[in-house]
Amino acid sequence: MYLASVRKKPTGTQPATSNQNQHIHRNIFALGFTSLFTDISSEMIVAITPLYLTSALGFSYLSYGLFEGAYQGANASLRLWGGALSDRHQNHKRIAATGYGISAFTRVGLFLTSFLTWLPITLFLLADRVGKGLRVAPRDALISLSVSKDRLATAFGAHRAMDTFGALLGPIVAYLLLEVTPGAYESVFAMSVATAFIGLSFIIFLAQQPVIKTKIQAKKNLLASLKQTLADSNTRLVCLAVAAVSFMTISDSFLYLIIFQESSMDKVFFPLLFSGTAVTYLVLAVPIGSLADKFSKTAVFLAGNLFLLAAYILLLTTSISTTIGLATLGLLGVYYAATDGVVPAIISSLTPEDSRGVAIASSTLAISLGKLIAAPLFGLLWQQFGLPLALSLFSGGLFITLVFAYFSLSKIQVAHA
Amino acid sequence: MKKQVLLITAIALVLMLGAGGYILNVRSQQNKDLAARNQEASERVASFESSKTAPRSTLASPPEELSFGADVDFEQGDVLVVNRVPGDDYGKLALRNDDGSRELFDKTCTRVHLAAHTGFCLGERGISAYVAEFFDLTKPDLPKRDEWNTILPSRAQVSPGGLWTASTVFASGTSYQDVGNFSTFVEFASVENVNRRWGARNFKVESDDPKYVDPEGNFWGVTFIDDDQFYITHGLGTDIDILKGTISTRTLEPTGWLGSCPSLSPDGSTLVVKEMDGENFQLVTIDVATGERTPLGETRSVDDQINWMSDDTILYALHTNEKPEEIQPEFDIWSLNITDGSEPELFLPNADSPATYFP
Repeated sequence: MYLASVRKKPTGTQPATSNQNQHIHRNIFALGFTSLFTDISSEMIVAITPLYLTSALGFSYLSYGLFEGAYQGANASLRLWGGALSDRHQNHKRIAATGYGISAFTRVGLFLTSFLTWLPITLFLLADRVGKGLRVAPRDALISLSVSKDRLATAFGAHRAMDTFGALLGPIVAYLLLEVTPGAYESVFAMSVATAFIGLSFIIFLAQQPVIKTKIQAKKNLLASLKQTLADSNTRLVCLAVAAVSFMTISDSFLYLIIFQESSMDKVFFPLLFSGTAVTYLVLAVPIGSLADKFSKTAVFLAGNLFLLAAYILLLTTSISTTIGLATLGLLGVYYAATDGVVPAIISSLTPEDSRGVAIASSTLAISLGKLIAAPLFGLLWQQFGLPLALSLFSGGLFITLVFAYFSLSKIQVAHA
Repeated sequence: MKKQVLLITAIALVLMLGAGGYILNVRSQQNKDLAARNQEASERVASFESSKTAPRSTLASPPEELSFGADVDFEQGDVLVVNRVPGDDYGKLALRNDDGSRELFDKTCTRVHLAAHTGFCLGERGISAYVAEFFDLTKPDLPKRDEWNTILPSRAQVSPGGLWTASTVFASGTSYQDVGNFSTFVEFASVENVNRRWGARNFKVESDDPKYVDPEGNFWGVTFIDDDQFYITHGLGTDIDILKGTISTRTLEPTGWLGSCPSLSPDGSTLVVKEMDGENFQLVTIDVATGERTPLGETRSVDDQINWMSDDTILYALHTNEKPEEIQPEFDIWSLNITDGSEPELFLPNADSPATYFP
């Protein structure tokens, strides 16, 4: 038989599935490297910008919370816009590359003006954030469109691991450069330009726009596409669940501040706090992602939040020793590995291909809305009633919202396509 | 796909070569500047030495670099400094000879102090890594002896009997000038057991004034009275005063004296403190018995904890140039006789952190 003979002879030609696989690896690899180099580029700037720390430490707890919330909110709206734009044009790659391009060109601006004052630096950092807000949703949509549904969480995990690795390398590169050329920030800016454009070249030359199989219905504006996305009950349930949980999530800046202020930990280790969480996240992102793919993405998401709850409870213990401080950072890393890449994986597995951008951005928006309230609320509670009560209330609240999230997520109807 | 990877590799190569070349160019420019500054500073030092009339060093054939114990017997009045001639020897400890010349040691510190046979060094080791370290003046250096990690060094002191050290380091900020915008950390360490270390924040202040327990407050600048008691600076914003403390009981009590970075004379009768005067730091003596304050005849701003060379002469460092250099900043040490109303005198150019030896 003709058909049988074809099926029996896969040698020589690439079978369709393997072709698909090659395609998968190529985009994840390309976007992973784009993020890695872009993060090296941006984190080395952050590491030498004293503005951030001094201003953050000068704030009161409440105003710091408000600032954090407002920043998250603005960022989320930009993401939504980027997502809608990429869905409408059916070209996620172009929008994401534009976002990375904006950031890369702000580096050139930084390099050229580094001999002036800190003012242009602030402006360029702002422009950089715009580029970042714009690119995140289309990039995640691109990742989700490049792999089959049963490998979504692994793919996001792999991407996030490379992203985090870049964020870890950035400050190290900056310090090494300042060791070679002491006090010469222009060296850091020069290297930042180079790494930003290397990152950009990966998405431009290596990433491919997957063909979207489902037909796009009509060219819609942002509001209409958001409406359509939220009309889907599954997306609504996921957004509701993640919003509820993040409403009781203490921002990590607060957690680091608690460990810094309350612990007997050697102050020398403070700059390492972030690295402790990042390394745990980096190592666990892929294994936990593949666990989520094999077992259940929603269960892993819920379990991840239990690790966050455990971190709160640890911080509630009377004296925060170095061991407890480190354990908290580890738990926080596990929490990130089990949620940060898993949420877009859950959303992607439930939504049609032509609205991935908006759908993923909606879930980030839901998380940001929760945090928008959580940050000033926690700041206010801490300022008014002290840390133990604030932590206890958020622990209890997190538990209740997790139960709520469990019931919401269990209502999801899985379509058997 | 191979083509694209090649293209990206080529782009990356070009970008890295560009950035690398630029950075190497910055570095070579920095080296050139440093060499020029080294030349200039060496000439200053040489002309200072030739202006001194005392005979040259009597060491028969001085070694290239001295080691503690092996090459020098410290005598009362010897002054140990940190060399600030830009170049390869920047940061090395040095002994000032009477003729104004200097002998370098094989040890690098940012800040140094000594008493009895104990030396105490706050130094930088590699990329933004700092250590605090004891050394014995009578013994050559042992590797990795009694050192621990710390943060940006500021002040180092050893108690008169050499049993305790006190260090002040910056947790944030780099200068005391920036009122209310820096954070410092004082740590006492037992020379006999390096693991016995106490932060000044954990001492109990015997006062109801809430400013002493305000988390925004800072402790810095310790001077020892004996091997147990000391004076220390506390500041909350511009409200800066001096407390007296005891290590054995871990207590502090306010003295009511204003000022910062006190330094007690060898006879224990007089403190010299810095007093904020607008943008400037004015040196002022405080009579310990009566509390009487007398401003000193140094009109320049001294942001240093002064060192007593004798009961009537103090030493302190000032930046050599009006605008401090970013890389390897230069300092000069000045001396001032506080009893006869004389003018400050240049004690040693291109040097910092004077520490006079008392047995």
